[in-house]
Amino acid sequence: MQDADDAWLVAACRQGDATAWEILIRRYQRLIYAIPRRAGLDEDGAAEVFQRVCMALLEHLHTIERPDRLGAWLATTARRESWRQLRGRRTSAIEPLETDEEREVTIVDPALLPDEQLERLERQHEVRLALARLDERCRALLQMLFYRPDPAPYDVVARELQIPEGSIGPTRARCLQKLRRLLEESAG
Amino acid sequence: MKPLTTEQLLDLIENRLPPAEEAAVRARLAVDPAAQAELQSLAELINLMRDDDSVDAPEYVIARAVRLIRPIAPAPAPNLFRRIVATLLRDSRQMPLAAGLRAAQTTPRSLAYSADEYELDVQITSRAGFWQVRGQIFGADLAGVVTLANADQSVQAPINELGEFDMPPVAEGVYTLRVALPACEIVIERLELLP
Repeated sequence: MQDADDAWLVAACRQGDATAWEILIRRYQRLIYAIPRRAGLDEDGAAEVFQRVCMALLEHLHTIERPDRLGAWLATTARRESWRQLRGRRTSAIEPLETDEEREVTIVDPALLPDEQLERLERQHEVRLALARLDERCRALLQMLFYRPDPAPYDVVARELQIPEGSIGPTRARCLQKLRRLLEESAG
Repeated sequence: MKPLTTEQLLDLIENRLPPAEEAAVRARLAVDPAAQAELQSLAELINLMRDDDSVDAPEYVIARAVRLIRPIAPAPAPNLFRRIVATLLRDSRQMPLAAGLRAAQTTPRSLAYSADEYELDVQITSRAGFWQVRGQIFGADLAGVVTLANADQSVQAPINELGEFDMPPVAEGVYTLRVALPACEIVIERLELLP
């Protein structure tokens, strides 16, 4: 079930499948949590947004028309909840996903998490999901080369991954190609 | 001219090429629109990874969200093999008669049974050498059939919307009464229809 796509997991959640629900939450936890943090909320505020977004997802499981676009739905909902937190407009009830017109009204500061930034967070999340589907060797190599603040020198990479230093360049190219194929597949 | 490889383009992005080789790659890139597009695509992907400073949500936050869903208990499958033997709670024949009254065969004998979440009231009357069993079941989802049988004969009756059933008359004897419901079968093992 770990590899099931979002549409399948949403359908299973609609039947009350707790395992599918946990897989969905764990799949998107980083994206949901990143948005309030990027909006400037502290850990407690981000935790509250996280819970509200998950409650909204649970409430809307039966009405989400495009489960294959779940990431975008969660990102939009997380942004709205983050704005609400920042405005201090804490409400106990989870409101349904707003229409475009209502969403326009909701915006307080368009500079806070603009669409471009939100889309970038979604895209980064898609790359992480694709990375997780790579084989261990490729995943480890790309993480060392591209997910560290200071990319590791090749000799360090070679030592840590126990591969010849001369093979790092070609392996890196092959792994990135695999990653791109996975991204293309997931984009449909 | 041999097209630029992905490896060369990546080395260019990562500034890993010696100056002379970098100049050569750039010169070829300048006249190769396909390579330019590939370079841009790779650079965007790498930038997405390099700029990703997201962190995992704390485990307590995830665990709290995971607990939001309440698993829906699976509907009990029709299971005629769940067999409940009814326990006799009360038998009017065993109770002392009120002063001044005499038992008569035309007086219905009343029995009350318990069977897990169900209760049964059974009325037995005797007339002209035959015995008749009527009753009512209390509980949920009572659609079903009641069978009264022994080695010599078997009769059936449906349960109506009020949980009532009315069996056809049978000869005297010791019978087993079975109530077949969607979720179970309730059994009264020795129902004596005797004078």
